[in-house]
Parts: sequence; structure tokens; C-alpha cells
Amino acid sequence: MFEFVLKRVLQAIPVLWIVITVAFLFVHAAPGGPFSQERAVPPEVLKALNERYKLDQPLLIQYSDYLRNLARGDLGPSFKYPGRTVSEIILAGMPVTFELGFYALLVALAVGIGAGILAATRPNTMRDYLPMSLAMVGICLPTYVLGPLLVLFFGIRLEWLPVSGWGYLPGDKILPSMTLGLAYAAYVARLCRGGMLEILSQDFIRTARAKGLPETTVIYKHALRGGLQPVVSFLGPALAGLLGGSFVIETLFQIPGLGRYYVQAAFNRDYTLVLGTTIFFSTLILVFNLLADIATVWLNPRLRQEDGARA
Amino acid sequence: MALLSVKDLSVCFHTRLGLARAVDRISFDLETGRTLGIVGESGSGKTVTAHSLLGLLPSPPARIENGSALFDGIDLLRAPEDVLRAVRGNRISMIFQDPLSSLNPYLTIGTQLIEPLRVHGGLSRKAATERAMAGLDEVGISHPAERLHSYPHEFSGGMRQRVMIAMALSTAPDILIADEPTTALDVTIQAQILDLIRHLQGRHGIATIFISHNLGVIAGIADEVMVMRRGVCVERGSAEDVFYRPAHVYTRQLLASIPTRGKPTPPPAESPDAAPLLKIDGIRVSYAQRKAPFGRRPTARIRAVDDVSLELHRGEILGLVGESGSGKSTMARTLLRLVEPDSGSLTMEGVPLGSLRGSALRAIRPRLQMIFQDPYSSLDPRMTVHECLREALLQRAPASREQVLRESTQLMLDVGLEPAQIGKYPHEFSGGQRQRIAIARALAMRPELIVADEPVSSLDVTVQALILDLLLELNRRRGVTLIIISHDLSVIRYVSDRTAVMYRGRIVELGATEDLFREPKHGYTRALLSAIPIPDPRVERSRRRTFYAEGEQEAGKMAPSTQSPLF
Repeated sequence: MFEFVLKRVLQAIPVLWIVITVAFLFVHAAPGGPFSQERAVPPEVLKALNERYKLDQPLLIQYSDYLRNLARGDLGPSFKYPGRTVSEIILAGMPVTFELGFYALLVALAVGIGAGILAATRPNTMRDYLPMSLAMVGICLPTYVLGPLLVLFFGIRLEWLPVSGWGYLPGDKILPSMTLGLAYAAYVARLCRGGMLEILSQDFIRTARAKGLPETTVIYKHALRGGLQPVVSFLGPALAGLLGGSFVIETLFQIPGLGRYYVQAAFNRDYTLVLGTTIFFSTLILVFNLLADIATVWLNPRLRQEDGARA
Repeated sequence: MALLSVKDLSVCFHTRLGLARAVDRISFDLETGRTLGIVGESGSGKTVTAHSLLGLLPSPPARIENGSALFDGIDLLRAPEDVLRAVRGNRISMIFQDPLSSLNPYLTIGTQLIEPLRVHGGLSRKAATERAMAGLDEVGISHPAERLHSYPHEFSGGMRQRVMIAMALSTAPDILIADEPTTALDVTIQAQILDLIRHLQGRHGIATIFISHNLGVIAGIADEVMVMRRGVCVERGSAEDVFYRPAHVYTRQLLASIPTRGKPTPPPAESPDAAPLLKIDGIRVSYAQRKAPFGRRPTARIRAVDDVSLELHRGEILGLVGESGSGKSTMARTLLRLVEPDSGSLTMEGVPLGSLRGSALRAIRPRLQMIFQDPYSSLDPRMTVHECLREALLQRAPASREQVLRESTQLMLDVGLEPAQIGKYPHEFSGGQRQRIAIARALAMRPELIVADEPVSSLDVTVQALILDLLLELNRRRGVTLIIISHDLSVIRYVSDRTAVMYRGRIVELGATEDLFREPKHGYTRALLSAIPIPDPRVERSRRRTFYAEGEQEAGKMAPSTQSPLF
């Protein structure tokens, strides 16, 4: 197992390098710069600023400087938030984004697995069609449509829940988490239904029934573990998607998370902040995918043992 | 009053094509400690009968139409689910055909073994674990305490079936239903498992319903026999009556279709001084052990074929027999250059096959053809028979449309198929017909040698004999040299002139078929011969089996136990 993790970590390094390089080139290729504003800045000031942040240097020099600093763990200063480094901004926004992602994941798994089991245990009945049709709607509906709809209904019409903020009013975390999680709940539900249906048709399920076990034991003890495998493999990409989705949600609900900084940084050509957040999110996505792979192996005794035998 | 009394059981399946009757008015009684054997070919309704007794049929589409099954005052066909659940796995247990897929791969053996004890017996975890260990010990699994923590994939097929038996018997049931419990196992393992079932059944006085397509197995275990065909019971009676005085035509047909009488014609005359068609010298083949997930380096190689030498004469039929893992299929693939040997040479009439490359290899390929075990997967489902044959014919030589049609029609006739059916797709044919198509496809190349790898093992017995006869006829009429690979000794005996017995990658014995069967020289051949079930109740019940155990233990899974039954 250790060897496997090490290998994957080493594989991640070139991936990250490509991400950094492409992002660096794109950011610098975009027209304008961090200091171009609607009101023209006097040329001397602009020149001084560019010199100060070494933006007058050739691109290759800037690039190699950036990589050198990065290797030391220094993501540089932010251009738009004077006096704050990119690392500080990321550390400040991270807990909020993580919390949002965590709640959204809980929603996705609880609703998705529940609906999947419900559908798989009575295939081709109303109990199957109804949740699966809803899941289809959930997949088709983008979060920036679902979000305002939920706000309109629960926030404005019913006045049950606050419509923005994070941690200011009781219950204000519910709507953003639901909005973000429900889309993924739909995917999870479909994957869980498929996985469960396949396992439920296996011979060993017949054996479990022939032993006279109650149906709940058959489903939760014998079928669920194998049935969840597709869901577990999906968790890596899903977490990446959740983080990506958080950009929209944080903007929509006025949440001071990383995603909002990211979006603003892109608008502002805040070169270092865009690059810093990109690197941060790419690393997270790589880590989550690795964790999902490890979980898949660990859940399947067959793979687990083979790997253990050779480690 | 019988322990279990089934009356007029009828089961229907609702399909898109309408109602299909799977079981039609089946009745039987089962007495304490007795064994009822249900025998029939695929689709005869024997498994449906068993499943309906335990309420295991998927419903829908299955529906029990009629009948009753009285067990201890309970009608199993009508009892509510909770009453049935208390019977299932407790007073009536079941073991299934494939012990690999019938055990949950995600849970340890221990977890699965103690489940029925905890659910039905209300035992504590500790008490249930102790009982489970005693159960494993009783079915001949050594070190039960350690084995409880193992997962099913760590056991061999025979060991898994032992675990299944231990699980089924743990609650001391009144009735055991065994559905083809040895079909997925090798003959020598089958013999051990049958001995085990007989022994435990006698010791605990359990009544058994034993389902099998194999008449030999039934002859050895059943007191009473019920013969089923297309959902109907065609004959029922004591084992002696059914085997020695079969009343129904179908029963007689079944008994007659077992190829036991040896080859009907003497081997074709061959001049001994003629050069052999195929010469195999010191072939070794090894595989890299299955790769670990995520592409780890393979750490070991498994030797599949170990130093095999053989000469094959034109026009003869060579039988290659062995159990799973003996290397016979690898051998076949090596002969056709589908697998590259590590060392050794392969010559066909003086031409070294091993060094042929590219077009030279392609030129010789038509002369060597293969027929595979499973006619369901070895034919392209999207090609009609005609397309399939045309492809083969055109591969051999360019031909006009009329020529192709004429030749493929002739091929259809040669293999006993209706030429009018040439435009149909493989799924429209039965298993036996599909195997005929596979043979026609091989013949289209006008091969000199056909290697048939388990050509009849996925077919019903009555169909097996017909396909074997077809192969024999092709050999006689066209002079095609055949290598027939089978795990089934009676098949080999029926068709082959010479027989080679493979064991662990080596040929342990090679000789004229009749000599080999009459006087086996190698210990493994003797064990193999003694393990074949013979469809004769008196002979089968009193037989003593010999065991062969050179390196028999499967990586510490079982203590080596020679010459003695395993309990």
C-alpha cells in the first residue's frame, strides 16, 4: 500500500507542473494586468508598480522566479489585497469552503444512497421511478438555477431560512449546502442504484436469503458494501466537482470562502492569487482521487489482500 | 406421514412472450434420512422446483400457480414470509452449484458461518463462533480458528463447497437441498464432496433433495430418483428401478446417451513409419502471475505447461484429459501459436512452427483450427451463420458469391444443420446447433488438425453424444486429425484413439485409450478413473475410491491426507 501511495504522489508532481504552467501562461495571456483599472493610472505610477512586482521582466524570468518561490512554499503577495500574502488569503478562506464542501457531501451521500437503496430494492416500481426521475432532474438542473429556486421558495416565499451569509444567522448554512449537495446526490443515487442492483442479482445474495436472514440484513450487510463501490470510486471526482461548484455557491450566497476570492482574483488579474488558488485546488483534487482509490481497494478484500501480499 | 410432501407443484414465469410453465404438477414425498435425486437436463425445472420450496424464486416474473408443499404442518408455498424465514436456513438448508459466487466475497467465512446460528439459534457471538469452528472441523477444514478470518477467495473450489456445507448444516436442519453441488468442481474433488455429503447425511439423519444433471452422481447418492423433463416428472421410483428398469423412453434415452461404450470403430490404420503430422518437443509455457492492481511488477511466474513432448499422427484422435489448472488449454493454445512457449519446439511436417512470422504464419494458420468450449461466446452475435462461414471461406481463397454460397450450404449439410437456416444469427440456435456452427466454421478452412477444447462440456448429455459422433464422422470421412481436450473421461474414452493425461503441466501418462482405461499405470490416472461416477447404483455405492496426493495440499489450506476420506 505504501508503495502504491508513493507512486501516486510522484505521478502527481508532473501533473501539478503542467497545471501551473498552463495556468501561468493563461493568466498572463489575458488582456490587461493587475493594475489596469477603469480610471487610468499615471504611467509613472504604473511603471513603478510593475517594477516593484517585477512585472516588467520577461515572462520566462517571471515564470522561473515563480517556480523557485513556489518550491520554497511561497505563493507570493497578492496584487489586489495589499499587505496580504496569497497563503494568508487561502488559509483564511479554506475553513469556510471545506465546511461547505463537507456539508454538501453529507447531503449528497445521505440523500443519494438513501434514494439509491430505495430504488434498487423495488426496481421498476413507483419507488424506483420517482427518485430516479427526480435524480434526472437534479442532474439536468445547474446549481445556479437550483440555488435561486431554493432561495425563492424556502427563503422568500416561506421565510424559513436565511438566504445568504455563513455562520451569521441560525440555519444560513442549510440552503447553500443543499444547493451544492443535491446535484451530486442525484449522481450518487443513480450510481448506488446501479451498484446495488448488480450485487442484488448475485448468487451470494440468494445464499443469504436461503439462510433465512431478514431482508434488512441481506441489504445492509451483504449487498451494501459491494453496491457502494461505484459510489466510492465516484467520490474523488465528486469532491473535485463540489469544490468547483463552491465557486458558484459562494458567490450566490455571499459566503466568504475561497471560491469567492478565486472568482474575484480572476476578474482582477490578481496573478499570484489566481495561481495560488489553482495550485491549491489541483492538489486537493489529486489528493481526493488518491483517497477514493485507496478506499476502493480497502473495501474489496480481494484487492486488499493481493496488494498486501506484495507490499 | 412424510417429512416433506409436495403435491401438484406448478410454477409459471411471466415473460414478454407470454406465460411459460417451468414446473408442471410435480409431486413427491421425502422421508426422514432419505435422499431424493432429481435428474434432468438444463431447463427441465429441477432448480425451479427446489427454489420454490424455499420461496427463493424471483417474483415477479415467477409465480406459483398451484400445489402444496407440506412440511411440519406448514405449507411452504403459501406461508407468510416470516414463517418461511424461520424455516429457511434453519430446518431446510440449501447448497448451490457454484461455491465461488455463492459466498459473499466481501465478508469473512466466519461472519457468514455464524449468521444462521445467530439468527435462528439465538446464540451469542462466542457460542456461534465455537459452533462454526466445530462445523468447519467436521467438513474437513483444518485450523478452523484461523480459517474463520479468511475470505472466500482464499479457498479453493472444493474448500469453498465444504464451507457452504458447514454453513448449511450448522443449524442441524431436517432437510438439505443440494442444487448441482459438485458440477463446478473437478471429478476428484467431486468424489470427495459427495463422500462428505453422504457421510454427514448418514451421521445426522438428514433428508436430502439432490439435484444433478449427472446420472452417475445421482446413482451414487439417491435412494429415490425423479427424472424431470421440460417441467414434467417423467419417471419416479427407487434408484434401482429407474436405473435398471427404466420405464420411460426419455429415461432410457438419458441412460443410453452416456458415452461409456468406447469407440465404435477401430482406430484408422496408420503406417508407423510415416512422419508425424505434428511433433512437440519439450514445450514449456509459463505465465506471469496475475498482476497486482495498479500495475505492480509481477513477482512470480506460474508454469502452466512443463516439458511436454508428443507426436501426433495424421488421422488420429488424441484425447487430452486433466483437471482444471492442469495446463491442457494452455497446451492447445500453444499448438496453434496463440500462446508463445518459453522453450521447446513445435514442428508440423518438418516445418518449424515456432519460427514462423507474419505472412508465413498466416499461411499455415488455416491448417490448424480450433473449436472452443462455449458456443455462446465464441460466435460473433452480430454475424449470421452465412457471414461467419463466408469470412472463413474467403480467408482461405478468393471465391465468387455463388461458390461461397454453395460451399457454405455444403458445410451446413456436413455438420447436420438445415441449409435454410443459414441466414440466422447464433442466438436463434440451440447450444448443440451452435457448436455445429463452430465446427462448420473450423471446417471451412479445410484444416488438417482441429483442436477442440472442451467441445461438449457446456452441452446437455443427450446433445453431447451427437456432437461427439459428428466429430468422429469428420475424422473418418475427411481424415481430419483431432485433439480433443476434456475434463470428462467418458468423453475422452468415447472418441479418442490415444489418450494423454495431464497433471500439473506434465503429461503423466500417454497410451492407447483402451489400455489406459483398462490398466492405468500412473497413480493420478487411477485416482481420476476411480473418481468418475458410474450410473449404476449398486456399483457406485460400493465403490472404493483411490486418492492421489502428490503435492495435493493447496498452499496450507488443507493438510495432506492420502488414502483416507477427509473427515
